[in-house]
Amino acid sequence: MNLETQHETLLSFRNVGVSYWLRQNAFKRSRHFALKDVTFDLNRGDSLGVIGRNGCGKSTLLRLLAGVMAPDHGKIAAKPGLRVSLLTLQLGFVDYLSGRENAILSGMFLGMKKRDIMNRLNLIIEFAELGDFIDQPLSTYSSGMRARLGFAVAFQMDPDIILVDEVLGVGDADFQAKSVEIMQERIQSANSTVVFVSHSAPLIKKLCNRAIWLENGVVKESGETAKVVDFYETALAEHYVRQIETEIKQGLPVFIRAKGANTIYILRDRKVLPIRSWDEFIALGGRTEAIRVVLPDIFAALQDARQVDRVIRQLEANVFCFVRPQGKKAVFAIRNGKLIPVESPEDLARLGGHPGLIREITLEQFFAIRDEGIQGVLDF
Amino acid sequence: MRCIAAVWTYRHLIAHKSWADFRAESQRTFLGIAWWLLDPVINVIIYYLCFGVFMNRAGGDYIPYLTTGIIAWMWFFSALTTGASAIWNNAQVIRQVALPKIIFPVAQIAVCTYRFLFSLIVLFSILFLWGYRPDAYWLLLPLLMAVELLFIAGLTFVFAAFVPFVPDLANFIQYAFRLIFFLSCVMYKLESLSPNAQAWLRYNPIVYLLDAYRDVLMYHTLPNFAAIAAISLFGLAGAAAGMLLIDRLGPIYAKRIVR
Repeated sequence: MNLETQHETLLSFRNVGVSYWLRQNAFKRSRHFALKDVTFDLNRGDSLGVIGRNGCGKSTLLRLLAGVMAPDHGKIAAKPGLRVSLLTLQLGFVDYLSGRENAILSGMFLGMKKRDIMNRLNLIIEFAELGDFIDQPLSTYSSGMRARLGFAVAFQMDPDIILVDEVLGVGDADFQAKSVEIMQERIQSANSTVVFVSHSAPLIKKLCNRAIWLENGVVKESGETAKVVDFYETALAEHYVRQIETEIKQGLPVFIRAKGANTIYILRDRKVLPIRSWDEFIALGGRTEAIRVVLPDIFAALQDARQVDRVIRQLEANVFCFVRPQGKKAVFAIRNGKLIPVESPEDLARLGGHPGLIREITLEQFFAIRDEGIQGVLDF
Repeated sequence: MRCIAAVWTYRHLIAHKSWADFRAESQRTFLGIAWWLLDPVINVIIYYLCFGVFMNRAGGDYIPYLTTGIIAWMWFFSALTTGASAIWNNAQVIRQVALPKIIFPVAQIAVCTYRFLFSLIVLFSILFLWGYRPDAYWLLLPLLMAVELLFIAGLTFVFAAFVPFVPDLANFIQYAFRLIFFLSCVMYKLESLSPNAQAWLRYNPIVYLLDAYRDVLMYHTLPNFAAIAAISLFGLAGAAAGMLLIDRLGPIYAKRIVR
């Protein structure tokens, strides 16, 4: 509450909701609420983080803030004359025009005055590291050069409230570091009012002084960043564990990889075990598209969390293999020590297998599994 | 009112956007801007061959008559058809920044107007070659251009307001106005038709508009001012209605346009 009395309120949302009509077919349509009930205030100098999973309504919220859309219910009150802009890279870029012409056009779309852009053009060229290329048509640019120009132009805008959607860094590694740095500086600066939307909890924690957590179009939590992010992360870890449980119930092996790391892990033996080679991964029933990429902090949570114990116990009961008796075409899955016929390639894929995973076994081994179960027959 | 104020506030953006589109168009092809002269010339040649030579309509002032009609028509047609989809075509920008949507059709009409002004070179050259010299009547040309511009704006704004909801409308406009082209006395004279057909074509305002250009540029007569006033009034009403619609529908476009 302290913050709100100290600083002037620039913008306030009261029970704001937005719905879209989704067309099912030519005659039927259904209503989808992207935002249901959103209430918050934005004060001068704030760095407000908006955190939430994909599809929580973040982009709709940004469009409301930018004034691109109007709410269907609720009220948005803004200070008169308030300029709010979404940091949009490469807005309105035209291939046939030169970098210089595009910079001016894009800047004007972003609400800058032509003269201001002209004055800062040297700055833009220098920051984008374009040199003489600025007068070449955009169609000759590499995607990295386009991205650099787009960022350099967008960064020049100076509205009352700047909206940042995930994009902090663009281009190659060097430029990315440079752009992330100045963007972070700007978000943290007390002179600028920023709304930063992200699904990265650590980044929000680092850059924002206040945060709201958006879930299914509703503000689940708002206030001090540390508190909000904490709630969000706990909920996310729980959700994640539930999801893994579901997958295990379906008999799929669970592989995870921490975002940014290369090592793949399998959930097993009440632990998160690393997989050392591709062959091992394949042998365990791994498929690239089945790997769950998780944020580092969730990965850590998964290693500690009590619930994972339960998850892993279920996993152990579900060791999964695919076998083919020598000289035969029929493929079987082994589950809980029992043989299950696999009817078709689709069936195989559904069970989490693929042709490379199938082990050939002798007929004796096959009958042994059928009659006595897997124990002692094969060293899976 | 708000729309007119918006056009004024964003005049620099409109000017730069239309100039950029103009530049982009000239960069797209090898001959670039030369096409803006070639296009009307080629059109005149085609219609001269088809209607003048093969259908035996040529004679006397046919070529200047045809050229005046084609150039004034092409301005109208290109501005209307491209301007009508201007909001729809700028969906990318509309979904990212809050701008008054009216600026997109306005900028597009501006692009077509530049092209029209350019093609006047062709028109004046042909008139000159056929022995027409400027006189006091030519001073009315800017007035006629203003009237046509108003007429263009009136139709374009209204269509532009609806195309984002029903993109098929853009196609419909193409076909409908291609038909109207043949009913507008561009490549034949009104007097050459049967009285019955003449009576019908007199309901087409474009017939009067094109004739007004010819009266002033070729026939040393004053245009039909009653018709000119009616066209202006129609254009004004359309432009006002279109602006109001675009203003009212403004916040809805971003939600509806999914491309």
